[in-house]
Amino acid sequence: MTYDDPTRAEDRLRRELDPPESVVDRVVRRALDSGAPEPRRRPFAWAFATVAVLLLVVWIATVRIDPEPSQVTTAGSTAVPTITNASGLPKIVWPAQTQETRGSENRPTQVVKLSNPDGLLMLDVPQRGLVVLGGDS
Amino acid sequence: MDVDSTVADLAPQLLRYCVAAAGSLAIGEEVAQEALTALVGHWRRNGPPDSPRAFVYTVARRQARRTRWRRRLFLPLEAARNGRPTTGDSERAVDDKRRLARALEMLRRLSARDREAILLAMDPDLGSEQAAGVLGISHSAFKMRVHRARHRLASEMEKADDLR
Repeated sequence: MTYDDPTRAEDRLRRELDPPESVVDRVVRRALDSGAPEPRRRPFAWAFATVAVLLLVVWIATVRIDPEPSQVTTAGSTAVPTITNASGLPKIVWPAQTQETRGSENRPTQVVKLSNPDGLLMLDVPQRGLVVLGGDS
Repeated sequence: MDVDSTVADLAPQLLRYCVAAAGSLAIGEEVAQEALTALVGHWRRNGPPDSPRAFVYTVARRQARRTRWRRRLFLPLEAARNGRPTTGDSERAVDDKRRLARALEMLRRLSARDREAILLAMDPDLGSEQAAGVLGISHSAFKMRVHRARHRLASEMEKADDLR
């Protein structure tokens, strides 16, 4: 067989390459199924997430980071230090409120001068005056 | 024009191109499906492309090339592991069909450039300018390549017929 017109060879090749109908149908069906749109996400998911993150940031900024130290030892406070005797050494245990305060001037080791004359414990607390604890009376 | 009818219209000719480009029905089917899936996804996300036909041919050409490289890379490993190359039952069953095997053999005798050109030219709905765009060459270069490819194909077919 001769192919004086080269397009005849091309036509023959095209016919021989024609895919079966079943394969065509399968490809179309799978392509349309797999290319289906994804289910819609919750429309306000991003808004919820953003608000949650902002609330977290605000909470951290206002609650956890307190730039002004608390004045626990101001007048009227009941935060009187108590003393226990652990291992033979005087130990100062501050009430929870005092222990949680921030600021270096409220730390016991820096604000309290401890002395023990005549069996009495005297605490010199700044802005509060002299506190005497212990003794027989 | 909706996506379903467009895919159904494109599928037969795209599948023919993919089978010929990949060299087997099974792999060609896979490549064609990937290209059509890409079209459907693009259509539903961004609307229809300027030319859906050129879009799928571009994707299919790229996928077919990747598939060929992958096969070249892994075929020796599979052959070493299994004793012979694995081709798959469905592929073997179809490749046994004489007409497809013969057509694929004819295409193998052409150079890769001629083969791609004539495969794209086989789609009457794909304009030659679009086909040139798919191949990334000028319009005139595409026409010249198709012209040469047709003559070589005819020559190879005559030789094959004479040998029968």
